[in-house]
Amino acid sequence: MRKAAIMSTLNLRTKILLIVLGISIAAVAAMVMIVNFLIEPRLEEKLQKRGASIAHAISTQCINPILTRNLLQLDLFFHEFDEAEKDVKYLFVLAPDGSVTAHSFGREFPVDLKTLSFKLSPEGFGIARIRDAGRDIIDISVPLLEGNLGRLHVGMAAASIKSDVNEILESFGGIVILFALSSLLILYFMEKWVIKPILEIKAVSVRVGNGELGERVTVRSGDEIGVLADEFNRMIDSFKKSREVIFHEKKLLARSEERFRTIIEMSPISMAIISMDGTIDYINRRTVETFGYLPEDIPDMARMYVVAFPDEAYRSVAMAQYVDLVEKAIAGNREIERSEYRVTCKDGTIKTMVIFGVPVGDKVFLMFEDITTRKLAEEEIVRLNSNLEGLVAQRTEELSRINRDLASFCYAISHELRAPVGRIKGLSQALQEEWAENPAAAEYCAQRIEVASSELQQVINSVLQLSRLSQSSFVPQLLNLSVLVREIAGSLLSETPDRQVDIIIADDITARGDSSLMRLCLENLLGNAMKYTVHQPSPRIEFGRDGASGAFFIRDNGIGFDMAHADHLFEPFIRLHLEEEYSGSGIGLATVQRIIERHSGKIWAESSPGHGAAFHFTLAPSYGVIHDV
Amino acid sequence: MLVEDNIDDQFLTKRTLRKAGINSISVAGDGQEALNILLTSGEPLPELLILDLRLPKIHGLKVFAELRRQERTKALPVLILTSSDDPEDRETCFKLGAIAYLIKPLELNELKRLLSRS
Repeated sequence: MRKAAIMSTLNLRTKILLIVLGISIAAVAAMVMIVNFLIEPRLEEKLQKRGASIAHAISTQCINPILTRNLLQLDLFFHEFDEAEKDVKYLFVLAPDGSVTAHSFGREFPVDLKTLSFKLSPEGFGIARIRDAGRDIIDISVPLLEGNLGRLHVGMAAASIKSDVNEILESFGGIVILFALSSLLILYFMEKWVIKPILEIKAVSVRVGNGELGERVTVRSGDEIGVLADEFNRMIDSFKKSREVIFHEKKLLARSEERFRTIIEMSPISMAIISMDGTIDYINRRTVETFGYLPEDIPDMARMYVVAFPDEAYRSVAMAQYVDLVEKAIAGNREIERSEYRVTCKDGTIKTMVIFGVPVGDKVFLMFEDITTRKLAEEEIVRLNSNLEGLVAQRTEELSRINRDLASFCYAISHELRAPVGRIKGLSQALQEEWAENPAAAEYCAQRIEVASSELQQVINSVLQLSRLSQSSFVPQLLNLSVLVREIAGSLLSETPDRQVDIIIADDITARGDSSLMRLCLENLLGNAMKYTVHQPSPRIEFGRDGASGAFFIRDNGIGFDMAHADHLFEPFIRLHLEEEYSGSGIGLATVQRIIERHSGKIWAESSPGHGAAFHFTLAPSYGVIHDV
Repeated sequence: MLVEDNIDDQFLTKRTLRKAGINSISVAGDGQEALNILLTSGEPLPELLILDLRLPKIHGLKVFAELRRQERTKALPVLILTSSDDPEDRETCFKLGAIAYLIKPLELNELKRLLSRS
């Protein structure tokens, strides 16, 4: 297995080389084995047999010379034979007594041959191997005359076997070279036709895999490799084409997604995209504007629930409602039903939202409709309807009160007009009657007529002034009351040059109000203060603002009044003092009160007889309610 | 007795009364003074009270009601002399038993007619 694993990691070229090399080595090894284990023993056997046949042939010719003791002749014969036969190294006869009868060695016989031990072959001849330096001989011996004459030894040159083997090996070597050459040839063509194209296809496929789609295999042949290359090129082409198509479609998709996203982003409706795991993937611009939350404020639904529904009881209700509707929509494969939620915005305001949407794949697409205004309007309608009857009753009551007030005001006016008119009438009659007899009385009557007439004039003027109050335009603006009071005080003092009044005015007192109405109001209050301090030896009038209550005040050290009558103070034509002593129309404070009421303010007085009076008033900063006069 | 705050009205009414032969006339300048004289001063009651309504300190109607409540002045003849022609005031005064409700100034003929009737 490991071998296979190693093999599989080697490249194709190495594999083929290894196989060819392996086969070659195996072939050579096989040849050497064949020569060594098959051919060489055979050659040796053949040499032994030839030796044996030579020994047999010679042995018959030896007997006679030995018996005849013609040993010299035998030596010669041996010598000649030895010379003639190349593979015969020597011939000798060893007598039973151990002496050498005849031999082919010439002068000196090698002594070691005398004690040569041999083994017997199945055919009956002896075999021995002499192998030492310079000698490699197979000794074949046969008995002479049943051994009586000793044994004939023939030495066969074993070196010839070696040379034969070498010869065979040499011829085998040629085959091996041929084999090697053909292997190389095969390798070459395999390299050229198979390996190289396959490697090229491989290299190209690697480059194509890396995205170089312009690459092409350049293999040109008609065989299977060529077809493979062509098919491979075609495959790249179609791959490239489909990749271009995919690329184009991806671009189209991206563009359409971009357009879609822009539509959602710019939509006048609040929208959000939420993953099934609760991640809030996206909220559009309008959602941010509506709720104030940025995407990082609400990364997921869990966080959103906490911030948008801070009240825990309501949160669990809202969560249950939402989860239920989304599950129903997914199960029924339909829209998420519209339902109302009271969502707390980042700035803490609570908005009533209708939330609806649709599950799309693994996302939920939500839309939010702000119905806060509508909801408030609906609630207002319900409230107004329920209040309408009460409101009508209240208004009717108010109107009848105003009517009553108006009626009593009319009688008050009529009285104020009638009083001087009646006096003038009576005095005129008296004047006529006294004219002749009592001129002094007549003159008195004439004087009193003048007084009553100016009284009448004053009443008429005051009534006209009061009636103008309700008609005059009301333009609130920032007024410096200190400056206004100073102006009025200046003109009042200039009308009575004989009086010395200490007037103290606090600086920079400002308020919002109608300039001409406030002037009229302050004129009346200051006029009263001037009037009721007339008998005071060191008269003092103060204007200022109370630090604690913020109310403005005009205070004098005049005669003051009994607080028991304070209720009627601001009613028209009510006088707390004798008319003769303190002249006045009787509607000054009524006018003041109406002006203050028109400024949504309040006026009240504090006094005690002989200890001066203080009139306090406030002016509302806004004039939402303007009272009818 | 005349209850009147305005000096011209006092002058004119007294003049008319004198013309009708009534010379003994006491005068009160406001409601409080009138009640003081009639209820607590111990002076004898006048034959007739001529009462204005719009009076300083205590309104004429209140003075009238107080007089009617007090045993001493319960039956005192009261003539209302005012400048106001308020129907409510007029009704209240007649309920309290005023002998007349007259608008100023006091006419001699009217006074004579009333005096002759009573």
